[in-house]
Amino acid sequence: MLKRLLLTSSAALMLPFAAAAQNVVTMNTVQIFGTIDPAKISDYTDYMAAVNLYDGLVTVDSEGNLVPQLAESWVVADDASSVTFTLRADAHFSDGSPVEAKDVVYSFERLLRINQGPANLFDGVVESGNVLANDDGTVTFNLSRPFAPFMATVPALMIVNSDVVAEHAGDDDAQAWLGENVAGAGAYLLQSWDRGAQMTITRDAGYYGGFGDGPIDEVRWVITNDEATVRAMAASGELTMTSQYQSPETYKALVDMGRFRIESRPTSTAFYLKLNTQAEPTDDVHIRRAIAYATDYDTIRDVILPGEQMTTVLPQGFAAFWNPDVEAPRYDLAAAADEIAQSSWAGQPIPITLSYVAGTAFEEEISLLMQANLESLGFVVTQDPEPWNRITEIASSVEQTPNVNQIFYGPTYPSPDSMFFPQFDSAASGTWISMDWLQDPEVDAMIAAARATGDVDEQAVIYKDLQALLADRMVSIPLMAQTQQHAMDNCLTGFVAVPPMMSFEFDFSRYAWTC
Amino acid sequence: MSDLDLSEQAALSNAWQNWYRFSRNPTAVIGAIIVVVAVLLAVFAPYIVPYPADAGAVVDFQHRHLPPSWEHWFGTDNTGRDNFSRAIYGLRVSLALAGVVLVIAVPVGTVLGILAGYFGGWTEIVIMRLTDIALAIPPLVVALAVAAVLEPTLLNSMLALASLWWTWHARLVYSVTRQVRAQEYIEAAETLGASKLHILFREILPNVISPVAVKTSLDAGFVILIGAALSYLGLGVRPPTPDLGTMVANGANFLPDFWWESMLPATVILVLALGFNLLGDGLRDLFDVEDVR
Repeated sequence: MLKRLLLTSSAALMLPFAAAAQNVVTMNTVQIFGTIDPAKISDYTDYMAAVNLYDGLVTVDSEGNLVPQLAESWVVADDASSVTFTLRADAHFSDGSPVEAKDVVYSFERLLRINQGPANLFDGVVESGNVLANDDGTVTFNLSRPFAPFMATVPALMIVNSDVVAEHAGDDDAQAWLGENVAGAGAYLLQSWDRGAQMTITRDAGYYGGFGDGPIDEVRWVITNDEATVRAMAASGELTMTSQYQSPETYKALVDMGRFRIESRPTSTAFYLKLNTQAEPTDDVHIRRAIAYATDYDTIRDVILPGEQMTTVLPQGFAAFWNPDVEAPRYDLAAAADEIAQSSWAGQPIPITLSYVAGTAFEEEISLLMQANLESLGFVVTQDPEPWNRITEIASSVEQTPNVNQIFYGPTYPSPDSMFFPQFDSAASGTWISMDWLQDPEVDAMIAAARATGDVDEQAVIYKDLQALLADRMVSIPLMAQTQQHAMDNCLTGFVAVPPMMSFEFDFSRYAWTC
Repeated sequence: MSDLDLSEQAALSNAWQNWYRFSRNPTAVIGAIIVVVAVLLAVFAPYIVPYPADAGAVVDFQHRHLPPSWEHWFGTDNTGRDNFSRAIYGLRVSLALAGVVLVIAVPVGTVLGILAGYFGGWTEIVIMRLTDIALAIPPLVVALAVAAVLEPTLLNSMLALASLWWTWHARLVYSVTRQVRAQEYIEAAETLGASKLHILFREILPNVISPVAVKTSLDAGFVILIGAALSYLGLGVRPPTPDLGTMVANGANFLPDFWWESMLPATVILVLALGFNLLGDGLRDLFDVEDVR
C-alpha cells in the first residue's frame, strides 16, 4: 500500500516535466535497479540502466554481430594473443571531455580491482597491467592465453571517465560515488533515481553517436510488479511499454485498450529451477532427478508463462553448441517415485524449500504446481517467497540458499561460455546466477578446456558433452527459453531482440517515436 | 445457607436480566451472531467447505479465474482453487491472530494496570511511562520491522502485535483501578488486614472485568484488520496457507476483470471486523461502561 502511494506521488511530481520533453517512454520494471556502477552490474535491470548510461568499445546488433561504438575499428593479432582498438576521434564523455585510451585502461583495471559484475568474464584471460594505452587513440589488450570468446565479452566492458572517477575515488575506488552518479559516454544522462520507486534518464543531445529520427528524449522506469498498477498506468495513458514479466491477463487487457501491440521474440534467456547441490535433500542426485520428473513442463509453458521448450541447460539459440542428443526432461511422476526409491530418502518424508520472487504471480503459480506434485511423492514443502534483493543476498551463502530457486538467466556476451562459466564453474559460486552451488572439478575442467581453445568445433564437442553431463546430474532444471513479450505503444518502434546479450535490447538510442 | 441461596438467586436473575437486555439490542445480537458463526465456520472448516483440499497447494489450471457460481460461491483464483473454501479457512488465521494477541496482551495489560493504579508512586510512574512510550509506537510499523528482521511468519506478527497491544489495556485498567481504590469497601478490606493479593485480585479485579471485556471485543476487530494489512503487504502466512489478507493482495493483481478474487475475501474481513465491533458496542451498552475505546 505504501509502495503504491509512493508511486502515485512520484508520478504526480513528474507530470510537469512531461510538457518539456517531447518523446517520453515510461516502462515498468519488476525489480529495483540494484546498482548503476558498470563494474558491479549483474541482473537485467542493472544492465538495462548501464547500456543507456554508458558506452563500451563495441556493441552488438540484432544479428549478434559486433559493431563499433567507442572504438571505430579493431585489429586482432595473427596469433590471437592481442587485440588493438582504435577509438573514435570524436568520441567524448557526457561532460564533453574526449574518450581516451587511458580511460579504457582505468575502466578495465577498476573492474578487476572490484572483481564483481562482469569481472569474471576476463578472469584468467586478461591480467591486470596487460591493457596498454599506445597513445591517446589506441589501446591494446594482451591476452594471457588464447580465449576464443574474448571479443564477445568486450561489449560488457563499459568505459568510465577516468579523470572524474579518480577525483571521487575516496577509499572505495569510487564505488559509493558511481553507485549513484554516472561518468560515462552513453546516449542518456541520469536525471533522477529513487531506489525503490523509479529511475528517469534524459537524452544527451550532444551524444557523439548521434540519433535517428524521432529519438526518445526521456525514459522513465517505474518499479512495480503489481499487475493492477501496470494496467492502471496503461489505462491512464502514462505507460508506454510493459516489462517482459507481466501476466497473460495483463497483456490481453492492454491489447484490448487499443493503444498497445504485443512484441514477442524468442530469446536465449533461460528459465531454470536451480537446485542447491550442497544442501539436503537436493545434494542427492536421485532427489534432483525426482524433482525434474515432478515438473509439469507443458502446463508451465502453455498456461502459466509462454516460452520455448529447452532440452538442455543451453538455449537452442546457440545452435552450433547445442546438444540435440540430450533427452528433454519430462513430466513423469512414476519415474520420479522410482528415483526417490533409489535415494537415501526412500520411505521417509523429504523436507524441501521452494523459493521464488515474492509478489510475482506466475512464479507463485509454478511454485504451487511444484508443491502439489512434490507432495504427492512424499515431499514436505515449505514455500519461501522472498523479495529479489533478499534473494541476491541469500544466494551468497550456501546454507541460506533454498533447495529450489526460480531463476532467469540470459547470456551477457554471445558465447556459450557466458551460460556455463557464471552458472556452473565452482569459481563463480556465491551469486544468484549460481544458486546450484556446483563444486565439480570435472565440470570446471571442461569449462576451462573450452575457454582455452580457439577452435569452434573443438568447443562444440566439449560443450555438448558438458550439457549431457549436467543433464545427467540434473543440476539446473531447464523449464523454458523465455519468449520475451512486451506490450508496447503503437507509436514506439525500434525494439529488436539482441539475443545473446542481457538487456542490450533496452538501449533506447535505437528506438524511435513515430507519431 | 439462606444467604448463599439469596446471592445465587440474585446472580441468576442478574444474568437473566443481562441476557434479556442484550437480546433487545439488535446490533449487539447481529454482532454476536457474526462472531459465533465465524468461530464455528473456522473450527469446523474441514467439514463445511465444499473443496477442503483447496486449502493446500492444489492446482487446476483448467478452472482458473472462474466467476462466482453455484459450484464456486466466491469464484476461483489464479490456480483454480475455490475462493469460498479458502476464505473459510482464512478465518482460522484471522481468528487465531486475534486470539493469540489478546490472550497475551489482555492479562499482561490488566495486571500491570491494576498494580499501577493500586500502588501508585514509583510503581505507577515506571509502568505508566513505559505504557506511554509503547503507545507512541504504531503496532503496524513494529510488526513490519519484526517481519523484516526475523522471518515474516504469522507467529512473529502475533508476538510483535502482542508486545504493544497490552498498553491499551494497562491504561484502561489503570484508570478504573484509580476510581475503585478510593471506594469504602477497599478501605474496609485494608483495615481488616486483607492481603494485597486479595485486594488486587478479589476486590478490584472483578470491577475491571466489564470494561476489559468490552475493550477486548472491540480490539479483536482491530487486530484482525492489522493482520489483514500485514498479509496484504506480504508479511503474513506463507503460501499455500489460505489467509484473507493474502487473498485480497493476490486478487488485486487481477482487478478489475476478476473482481471476485479480491472483493469477496475483503468483504469477509469487513464483516468479521464489523461483527466484533457490534458485539463490543453491545457489551458496552450492557455493562454501561463509558470511555472504552
